[in-house]
Amino acid sequence: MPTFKPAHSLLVRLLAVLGGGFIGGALRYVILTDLTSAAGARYGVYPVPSLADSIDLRLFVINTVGVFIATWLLLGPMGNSSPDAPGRLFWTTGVLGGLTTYSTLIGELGALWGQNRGVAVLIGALSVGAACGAGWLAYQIRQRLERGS
Amino acid sequence: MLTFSAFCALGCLVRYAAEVFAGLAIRVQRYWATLAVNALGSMTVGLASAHLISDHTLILAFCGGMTSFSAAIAAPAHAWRDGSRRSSVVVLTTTPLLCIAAYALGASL
Repeated sequence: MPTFKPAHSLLVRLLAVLGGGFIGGALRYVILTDLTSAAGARYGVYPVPSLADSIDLRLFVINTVGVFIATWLLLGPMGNSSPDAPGRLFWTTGVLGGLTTYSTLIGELGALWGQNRGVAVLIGALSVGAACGAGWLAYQIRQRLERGS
Repeated sequence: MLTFSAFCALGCLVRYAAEVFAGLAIRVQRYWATLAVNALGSMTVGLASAHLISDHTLILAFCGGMTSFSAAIAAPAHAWRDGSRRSSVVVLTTTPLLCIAAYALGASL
């Protein structure tokens, strides 16, 4: 296992994570909350969704695109830097880590589970499958670019 | 939105602290810590969803920052490229299963 000596002070690393996480969280809040309705104030409650509304496309897109960008970044020059490099911490651990979320997806699946288990399993499988596909796509594109250069 | 983002940032910080702790103290790859915090965050959401009737937005904000879909897949992809293929497959396959189990555990407590 490669070991890296942190080249930057603890304060810089903490600020990179906090700053990135703040921006990622704000982006997620804006995207997932319908600011034009009262639902915005009730983001923290999982309503039992109707089957027609059971697929939250916004969360699906956030997680899938976030995985693609994070994989793309980590397999590029950023991935060769120290895991504690401020730029890497800001973008991957902070912004993309704050934007994408496992717990919200699991919470939504849990709310749906009581209503229709088959749909919950299907949406869970689609979400994880699409994210894995996005990561695989980023991996393949990176490999082709490296072979071409 | 500012409070939500601040709690999300704190969650990111906890994830980072767990990853550093895993690398320095336990001497394992950092994605194992990501797996652990993803499960812990899912369990917390299960606990909050089942037992908190009132709005628990800030818990979701914190857990949303602590858990990360991008790190759960990008880090194993990075490990795959570097040759740790068995570990990356194990992390990729166990993360969703472990998170679901942790959520169910949290909801049943």
